[in-house]
Amino acid sequence: MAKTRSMTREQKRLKTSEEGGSASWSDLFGDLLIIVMMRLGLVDFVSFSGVCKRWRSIAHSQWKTFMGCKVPMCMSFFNSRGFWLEDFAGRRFKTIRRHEYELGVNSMELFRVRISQLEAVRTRNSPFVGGRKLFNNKYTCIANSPGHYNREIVMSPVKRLWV
Amino acid sequence: MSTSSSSSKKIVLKSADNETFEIDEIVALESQAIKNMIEDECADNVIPLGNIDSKTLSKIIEYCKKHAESPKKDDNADIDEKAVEDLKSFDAEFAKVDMPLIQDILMAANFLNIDNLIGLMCRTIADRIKGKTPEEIRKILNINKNDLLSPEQEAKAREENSWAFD
Repeated sequence: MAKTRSMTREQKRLKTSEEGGSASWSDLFGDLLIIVMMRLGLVDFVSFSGVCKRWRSIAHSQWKTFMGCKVPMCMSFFNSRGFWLEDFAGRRFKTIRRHEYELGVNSMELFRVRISQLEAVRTRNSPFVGGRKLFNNKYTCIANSPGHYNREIVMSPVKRLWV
Repeated sequence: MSTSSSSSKKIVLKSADNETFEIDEIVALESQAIKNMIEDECADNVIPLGNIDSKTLSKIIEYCKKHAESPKKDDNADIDEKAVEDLKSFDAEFAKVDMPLIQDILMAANFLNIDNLIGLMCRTIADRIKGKTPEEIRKILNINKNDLLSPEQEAKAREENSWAFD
């Protein structure tokens, strides 16, 4: 079938992929990409933001909307020094230790925190302080502590507090 | 492609590769864009769809036919449970196509303004992305080479993605 030959110039413009065939995914309309993005969980959202420039800029410009409408993740400590996060679908995510930092989630934003500070929460009920949020390249301070150490703590994205 | 019932009004759609599809008006009305054209009486006998190829268009017509046939939610509050289930399994089967076709269908559904189909395609894409790393997502999708992250962005994205799936 003379599919490509019969295309007008305008249609050709719509199909921008070098491979011919379909238009590139990075060209997909922004509002459609946002619909796709809003259906993802937090961890998949972070993956989404690492796919390409366009997806990354969409994720970064929409992250507040995204975070605001998601069920908070549950954060539990391992018996050693790490913790895991559990999403609303019951999937668990372990953070991978990077040097002295641990990656975590605060008010549904990504941050990293020193292991020693994490230890402090576990043992002395002291508030997290000075965790640096990686996502969106902004700093954030983590307020309030869980009532008791070793308890499951949940961050409310609305109240921006541990509840 | 023609349909069995001859009494109802017919609409002819013409794809980018000049293939024509004769469908019942009721099927065409699933598309809000075509509905508007018909209501504004600016639709000729043949509606040319210059940016939709015949493969995509025939899939879309298959979808619209099925959805036009089944009872609408707002028509009747207590519609047949079986019809709902039937439509659900149709949608699930319908979405079992490769990613390039999913994207073509999504673009066309967006152009034709078929809300349910846009939703179905977006849901399908989201489901296929779930649980995958950015590298894996890039593999299943067709990402424009000019749009790849810079090495610095790539390193940052990699650090943000240092999760282990349990």
